[in-house]
Amino acid sequence: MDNILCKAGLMMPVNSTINKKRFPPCRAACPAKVNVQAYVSLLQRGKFKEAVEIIRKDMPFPAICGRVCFSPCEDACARTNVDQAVAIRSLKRFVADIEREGERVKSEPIPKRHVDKVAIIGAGPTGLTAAYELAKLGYPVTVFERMSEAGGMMRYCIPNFRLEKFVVANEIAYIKDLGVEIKTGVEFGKDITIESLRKEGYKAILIAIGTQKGMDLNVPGEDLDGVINAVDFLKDVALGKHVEVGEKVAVVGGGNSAIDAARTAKRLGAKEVLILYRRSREEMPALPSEIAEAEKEDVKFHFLVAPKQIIGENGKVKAIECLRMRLGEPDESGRRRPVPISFSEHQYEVDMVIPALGQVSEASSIPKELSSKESRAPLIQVDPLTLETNLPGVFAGGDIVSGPASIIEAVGAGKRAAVSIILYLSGQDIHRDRGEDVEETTWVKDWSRVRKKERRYEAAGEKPRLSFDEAADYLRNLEEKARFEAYRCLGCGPCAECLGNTELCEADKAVVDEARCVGCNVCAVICPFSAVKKDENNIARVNEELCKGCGICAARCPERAISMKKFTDDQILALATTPIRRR
Amino acid sequence: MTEKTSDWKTVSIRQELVKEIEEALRTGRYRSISEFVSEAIRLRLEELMRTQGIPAEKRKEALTTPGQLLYTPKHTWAQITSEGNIRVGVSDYAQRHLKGIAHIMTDPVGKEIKKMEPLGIAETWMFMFDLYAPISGKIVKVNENLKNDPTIINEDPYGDGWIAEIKPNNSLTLEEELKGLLSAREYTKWVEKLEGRLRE
Repeated sequence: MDNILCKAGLMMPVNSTINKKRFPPCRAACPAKVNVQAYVSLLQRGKFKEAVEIIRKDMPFPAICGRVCFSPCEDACARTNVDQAVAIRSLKRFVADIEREGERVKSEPIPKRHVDKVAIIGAGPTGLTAAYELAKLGYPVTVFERMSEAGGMMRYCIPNFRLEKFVVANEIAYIKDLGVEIKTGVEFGKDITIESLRKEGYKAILIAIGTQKGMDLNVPGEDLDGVINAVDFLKDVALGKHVEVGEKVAVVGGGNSAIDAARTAKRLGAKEVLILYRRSREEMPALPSEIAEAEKEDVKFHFLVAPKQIIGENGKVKAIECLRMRLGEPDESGRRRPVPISFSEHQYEVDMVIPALGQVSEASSIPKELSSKESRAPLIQVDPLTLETNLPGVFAGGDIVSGPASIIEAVGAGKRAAVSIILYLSGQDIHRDRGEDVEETTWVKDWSRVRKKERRYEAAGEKPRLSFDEAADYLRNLEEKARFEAYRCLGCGPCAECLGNTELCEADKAVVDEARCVGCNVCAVICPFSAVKKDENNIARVNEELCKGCGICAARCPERAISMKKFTDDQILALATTPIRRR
Repeated sequence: MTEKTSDWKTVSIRQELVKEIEEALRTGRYRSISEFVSEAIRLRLEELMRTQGIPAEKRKEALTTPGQLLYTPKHTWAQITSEGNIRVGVSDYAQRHLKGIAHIMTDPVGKEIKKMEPLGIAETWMFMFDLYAPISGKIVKVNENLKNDPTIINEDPYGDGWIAEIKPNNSLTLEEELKGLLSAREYTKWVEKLEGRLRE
């Protein structure tokens, strides 16, 4: 007997101390430490609203990440030892969408409890997450954004067919309604500086301006008419500008931006779209699902080729000349370095070239006072645990520190920065307890005993086109599928920390029979909520406010001195010794 | 069935009431005097029906399914405008499915459309709903206000939430096509049947 079924229906290891720093692998892998197990468990029971609330406790973009996150949680999911990972991202999208499908979601402004103003530069995922966390605690926050709308790469780089503009606008509106002020059309370095913000009374500043410039190909012919960097191309489309697309388009690169640019070019009318990547398919950093979608849309992939020059006629692109590559020794990233094969020049006839090699920072937007690494594409240097720069009270996070990364990593950086700012403004040591050390845990010992259940749920890429009468049935069907998928979750972590904000753990409290208690202290050690402690007479006392009624102390007490108001001793023993069957 | 301008009534309002209405407009509770007056009339009707013992569901139906419009089984309504065009919108039943509305996309002005073929799409967080034309003709007007605030469709599906206006091909086919549409009573029965079927 290893586990007990807590009232929430979750598996809890009984014979080990429940250590809060032990996370299930999904949560441990998430850069923002989103409480995956909690919302999946709530989903199992059809508690969709509570599931979204739990996600929002950790980060403000459930609908966005449910669509475009690269889901490190799924890669880490322990279920891959049995069959496939739980469809965590799709489930997140499901609860986020179904919440909004039924009602308009609005947040209420949080009353300001502090006077110290915080300035955040950049309304991308890092800046907005930091603003969200600070606003929730009552800090007055102003976010300054250069573009005319907030969102950063979420708004201006990811195409609409992957992430709808109204979804981004809606998630940002939620943050604004909490009381965050967002000022658009303001450029850092021109309209505002660290100096000017300090003069205006901002006590802490977070720089989260991201990496806005596309990296150049650095080959001859790059200045020909018909060469446009993927970042600029996608931005123009996102701004609603009319973009001329050639008949044959070559996209150079292997990341998600390359795929986005290729699929966008197709939608704008290009007859043939090629992706030229210098390594092989296995090394491509883009999401496999995105690569598959692009192939379905007839985008042609050419691997192990790299451009040597772009050939033009009358100033316009006519062809791109490439060399074939072979994979040599691994480089710093661990991937095998592509090495050109001599005399392997060959051409692709194209009239448009879109380099999609990644982004770099705009050196001019980084204040000289801040120390940064590298001179051509500088990144701001910060203390990795606190995100503080060399200037006290000035913090930096997101792509401008790490180089281009993902939304969820940016969210994690935003949270870390928010904690630093809160500690800084309250005069505390910003270094205290910032360590990351989190331990992965699971209760499953023998994977071969877990019954296989194939993953069948994926959130729809394309929305279904229905009539109003069919919607209710469709939703019901989808709900069933989602709940079935959620039941594939093994509940690896100890207490899911659903935070008792649900009716799952009914408010039944542990009760100590003082005549039987011998003061061994096992209950105090094992309680995940620190709700049981010995009093002066060496008798265990339950703090009813903290007790969540999980029942672990009752199962573990060697004297059978604790009972839950609903369960008798015998019932608990029976529960604890029966193998739990999951649907 | 048709709504001629001579069917409209002029309402006189006492001066003190005008002040109250202006205050309500200033605080944003209503957008116009006519909206305030419509709401007041609606509340009065509700009260009258209640005192006459009309049950709640019937009261609701009378107030949410305007009697003078014609309906398609696909939940779009048709109304003849003073210019002789057909104004199109979605019913209350449809609006309830559009709580998560993101936007309405319609075919452009000038497009020819056929009866019971889609003239636009309503996109929500999870779905794309086709919007079906009640008659054939050419689109002559599209409600631009819906672009900025698609939620008008939820607040006022029969009034400000109109979607497009169609110029019928000719008056003979128009009469035929209008005859084939459902009256308010028929439409209400149709909706009841659908909701009953779903409850089974």
